Amino acid sequence: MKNIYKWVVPDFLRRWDRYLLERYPVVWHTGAHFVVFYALMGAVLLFGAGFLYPVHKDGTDWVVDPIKPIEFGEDNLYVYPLITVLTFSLLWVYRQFQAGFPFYQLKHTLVTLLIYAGCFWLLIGVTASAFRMGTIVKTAWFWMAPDDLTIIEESGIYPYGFMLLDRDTSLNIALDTLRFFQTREQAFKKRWLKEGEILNQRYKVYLVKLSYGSSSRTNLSDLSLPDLSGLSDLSYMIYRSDENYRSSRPDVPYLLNLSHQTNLKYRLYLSAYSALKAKENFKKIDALALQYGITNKQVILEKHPLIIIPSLPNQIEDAVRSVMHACQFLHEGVFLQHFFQIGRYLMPLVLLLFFSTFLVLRYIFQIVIVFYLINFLAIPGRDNILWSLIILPSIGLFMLFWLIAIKTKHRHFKIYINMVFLGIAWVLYGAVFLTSYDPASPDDYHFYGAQLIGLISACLVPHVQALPEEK
Amino acid sequence: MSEQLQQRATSIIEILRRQPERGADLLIDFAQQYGADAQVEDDAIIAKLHWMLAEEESEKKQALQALEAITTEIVRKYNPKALQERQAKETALAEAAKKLISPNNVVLRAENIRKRYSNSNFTLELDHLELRLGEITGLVGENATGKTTLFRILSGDLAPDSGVLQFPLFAPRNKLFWPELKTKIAYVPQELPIWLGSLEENLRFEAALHGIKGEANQKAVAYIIQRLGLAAHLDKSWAELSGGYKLRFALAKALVWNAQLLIIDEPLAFLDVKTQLIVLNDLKNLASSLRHPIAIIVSSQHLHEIEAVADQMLFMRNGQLEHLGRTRDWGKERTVNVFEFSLPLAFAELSALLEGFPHLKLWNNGMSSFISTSLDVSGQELLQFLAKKQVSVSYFRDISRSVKTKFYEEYL
Repeated sequence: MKNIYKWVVPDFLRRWDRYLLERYPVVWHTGAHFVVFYALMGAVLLFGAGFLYPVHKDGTDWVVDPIKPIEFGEDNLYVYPLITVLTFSLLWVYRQFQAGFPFYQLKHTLVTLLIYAGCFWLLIGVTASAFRMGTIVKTAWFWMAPDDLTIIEESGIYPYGFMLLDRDTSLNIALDTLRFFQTREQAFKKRWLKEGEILNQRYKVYLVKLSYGSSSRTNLSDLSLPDLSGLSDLSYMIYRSDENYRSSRPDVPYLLNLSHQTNLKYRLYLSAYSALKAKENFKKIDALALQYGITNKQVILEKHPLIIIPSLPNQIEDAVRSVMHACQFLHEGVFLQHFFQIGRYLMPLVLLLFFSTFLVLRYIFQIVIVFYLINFLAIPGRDNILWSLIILPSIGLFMLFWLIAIKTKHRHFKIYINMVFLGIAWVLYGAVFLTSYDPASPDDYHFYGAQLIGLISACLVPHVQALPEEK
Repeated sequence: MSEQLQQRATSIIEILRRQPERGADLLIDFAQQYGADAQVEDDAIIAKLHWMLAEEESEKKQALQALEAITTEIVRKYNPKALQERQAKETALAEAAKKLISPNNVVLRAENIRKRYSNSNFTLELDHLELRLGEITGLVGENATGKTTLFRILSGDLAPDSGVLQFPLFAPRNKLFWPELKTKIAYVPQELPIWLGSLEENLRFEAALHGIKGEANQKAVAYIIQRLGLAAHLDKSWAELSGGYKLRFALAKALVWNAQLLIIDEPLAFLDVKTQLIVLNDLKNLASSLRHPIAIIVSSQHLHEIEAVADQMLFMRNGQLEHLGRTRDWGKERTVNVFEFSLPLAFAELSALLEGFPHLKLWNNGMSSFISTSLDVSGQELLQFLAKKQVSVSYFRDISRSVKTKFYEEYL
């Protein structure tokens, strides 16, 4: 065991460990020095791995990996490293659980919470996102040479998110498509300046149901979409930022699914939509497309002058946009933005780790059973569910105050701390996994209320711990 | 003198080369006696620890060289006049400190403490108890008399049902703020909690947590490790330690920082004779320390050892405080003398032998015999009587002024 320790923990870290132990025992107790070292090391490794990750691939599945902002739950290249990092972090959590919380003073609690917050920020904000940062940096700086990027940009190939869908007939394809592109180009000249806005909306699905004058899923005014009311024959458009609609997907089945259409003409139309304007432009970048591994299937076009493979413009667009977006992410400080995004989950995580040192399995079972009984008996309804989220920590906090008032702690005082723990755990679970059901959305007062209760409880814990026992 | 000193130094160096550990111990004593200042002793202790903890041969060699260098340095800097002056100064300071430690420096005052366990129908009752800075209080009593319960109450581990607990030095207005109080009280319970992680780290952490940081931390930990002979066991885990060493480590943890109230439950139970003496001496030195005098309360069944160091003694029986008084005053108002002795005779033979000796009662506890006499009969007379009878006495002790008599009250 000692040999493993020596192998895993380098000399300088052992010296630091000793230094902190002898001078800053509270800091040492948090194990932050180990977390910082291994988190930074992990970040470097993950960044390197992200950098090596192929941003393009010549194959049938996908061509250019779309660059996304770093987001909880939205981006697998962030989520998978996050799961890995959190799994390794369990070693740290277990160490803290074993070591307990041997302090009696408020200042020690506050220092511990602060250090835990820093550690979690490092783990979730830096280490877990390092892989995605690697892909972003590589895409922004190395994937396309600036000159090549300019050539592609100047080629005018920007389908940029709009695709005509059903109800068009073969007679008006050309007219409507032309009109559409003309209108769209003008609109996007303005929109281009608001690339950031597009980026923010990029991964949301917007189906625009023009002919019926209503939007199905979102507020269109947010998008400042171009006025397409003149295109009377176009009934549907899809904003191509839909994350499900990438060049990697087989277009037709996907679109069929969206439009509930099986008309062959419609499918043909989909294949031909941008031919009128874009076909000539594609030729300008054929060489570049090949150079960057973007599949050129223009051979088919030799036989069918009006048809191009829809995946090609999509791939081109993805390539260009990925580079531009990666640049923009870096310019906007995607790293910091990500930090603020995870900031809302930081406090619950910190509190959970802090209270985990007081966990007693027996109490957890008891509390869960009682809690479910209460919920079972309670009148169903959204408000009841919301209130039930903070009823546990509230009772726990109240009991901690009660112990301080009577200056005696019960032998089973940890049950109250366990209640606060479970309450926060439930709220955090709701916030991460149940946002679509509203409860515990990070914006609601229950979410922050539970955190506030947890924070106050954490401040009371050392005091309660110092009190003499009843028996 | 300096030649003798040189010879001793040479002999220490030789022993260091052959038996480094023993040599280092001799050097530490040597440094204590002849070192120019206390720093030399600290250096010797730390060098010894370096040697013990060194894993590489080169590190061991380096530590050994340091030990030899310290030995040479002591001889080189030896100045009999300065040494005498230092010793005289230390003695004077100790005397002054004794005067400074006023009997009013009450660290803990307990009044009418009562604690009842309804399940076992046991009740602890304590009318009055005061623990003062610079004093050791010994608590003795039969098993299950409430000693541990009392200690838990005094240390703030257990809440009494009623009564007043005051800490005049820490909380002059009698507002008990336990988070603050607990940073001044060290409690070594009888049932020791499990230590996690490295034993050395635990000691360092405890010292650092109580403000002993940096070099002072290293010295304090090195000192306590050397003092309690823990160096050879630092690599072990808590589970690998014997009961005695667990207790030693627990004591080290309590002694490594300057607690102002030290509460120790049965510290001598698992210790060998040598370590018992070390611990008791340390407790005595700690209590009357010049810089940080502390109050100590310690329970034990080793009555004579505790009596030897305690300033006041408590005797408890069935949860009641039966006696509390200064150790020197114990037995002042006795009506009989009591002697404990061992002879190679059966009890019947002993009874027959002592028929001619004026005594009140004679009894035996299976190990020793006890005899009570009137106050005008001395122990010397008893010994002379036994000598005349040509009986060899393997053990003899006058326990007339010992708390031990409380255990044999039914015979008195």
